[in-house]
Amino acid sequence: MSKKENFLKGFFKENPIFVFLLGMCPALATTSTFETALGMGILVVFVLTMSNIVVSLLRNLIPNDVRTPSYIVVIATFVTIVGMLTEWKAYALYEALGVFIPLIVVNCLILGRAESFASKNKVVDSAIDGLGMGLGFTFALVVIGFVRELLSTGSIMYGNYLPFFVDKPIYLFTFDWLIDGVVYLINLIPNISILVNGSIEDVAIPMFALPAGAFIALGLILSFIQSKQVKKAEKLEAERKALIAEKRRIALEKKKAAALKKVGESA
Amino acid sequence: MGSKFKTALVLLVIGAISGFLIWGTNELSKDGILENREIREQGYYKELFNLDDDFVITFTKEILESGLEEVELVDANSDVIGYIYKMTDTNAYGDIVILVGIDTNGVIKNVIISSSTNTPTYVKAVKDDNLAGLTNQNANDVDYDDVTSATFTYGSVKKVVDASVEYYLLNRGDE
Repeated sequence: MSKKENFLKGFFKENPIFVFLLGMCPALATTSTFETALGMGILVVFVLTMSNIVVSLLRNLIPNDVRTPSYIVVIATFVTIVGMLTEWKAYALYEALGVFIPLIVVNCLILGRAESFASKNKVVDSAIDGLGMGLGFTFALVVIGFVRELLSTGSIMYGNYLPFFVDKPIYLFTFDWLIDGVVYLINLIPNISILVNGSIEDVAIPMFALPAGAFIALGLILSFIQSKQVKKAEKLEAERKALIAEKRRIALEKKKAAALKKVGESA
Repeated sequence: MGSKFKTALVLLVIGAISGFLIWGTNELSKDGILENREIREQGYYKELFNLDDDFVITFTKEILESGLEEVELVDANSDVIGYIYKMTDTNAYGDIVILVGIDTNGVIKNVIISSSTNTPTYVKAVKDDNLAGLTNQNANDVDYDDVTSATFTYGSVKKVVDASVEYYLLNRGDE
């Protein structure tokens, strides 16, 4: 596997959440908003990359019978460090994620990569694997967070929890224009004039910010991905069948031509 | 014997390096963390007395023997705005930190759960349904909500409010 393939596999082909369904606890619990999902993703990228590097460095030193406890100590160290740094530099995110920061220790994705990859591969490959898988995990969290926040509030905000690039919270995206558009279209109808002073939040579905909404949003996203994969597989299967049929036809034609040639020769 | 010694040595080294890294990070971040916690705490003080974010407050803290922490809140003219009582109670579901704000007239201005390890659903239920009922009550006669689904969490709230009111009436009530 090339380094590029190693890096990219975590995004789609071996995505921890959408393909392997690993680390589902933070995927459901910390994705009520886009920003908390992104924050959790950043923390996991750091822990996963660093623990993969250290586990790979120590892979020949750690005795086999204490392998798992050693990995857990390594992972717990980085989780503790990341918890302190978050409380220092991103206090709002620290409060929003709460207990889910220390719970990164038991994220099966991290222990899984340490066990299945970092303990058997070189440092550079392990670092690339950790970074790729971490970013793939972040990508999945962000997709779920984006969908949930958009459905529950009609907008995507940034700046409430992550203190980077902005001084105060801003709207990255909002569907407020949709309300204005609908009002404008209704007002185009003769003899009807309405004046609505509302926002998209009034017609959003707050349930998507709740735990039940997390399951529903995840189910919707997974079913979308599955339908795409099924369609792709069906397309490949159809192409394969067409190729086989074409090869059969060519073989049959060859056979026919050979038989005709034989008949001609004998005549 | 040799392999056991090696195993122990490896674990010792891993543990020592981990400890050193955590110690270093703690040294680096502890001042910033304390500052953040202090800012958050002051945010609660303002929330308790419904003060603006830019309102400049000064306060003095005193930790009492009962586990209660008293904060005397003073405005820019050195007039006492009120008293805040903070206490950590441990119930069957873990710790819960509660702040009670009482003004100089003996009126409970607000009650806040600042952190807790209780079941989040119950904490939310208490925050949404029960805490508002305590605000604007007189410290002399606090009426509690007897119908609540979050018995343990609300029990802690009652305990802290009772302790706060008792201390206030005994020591600050005549001011």
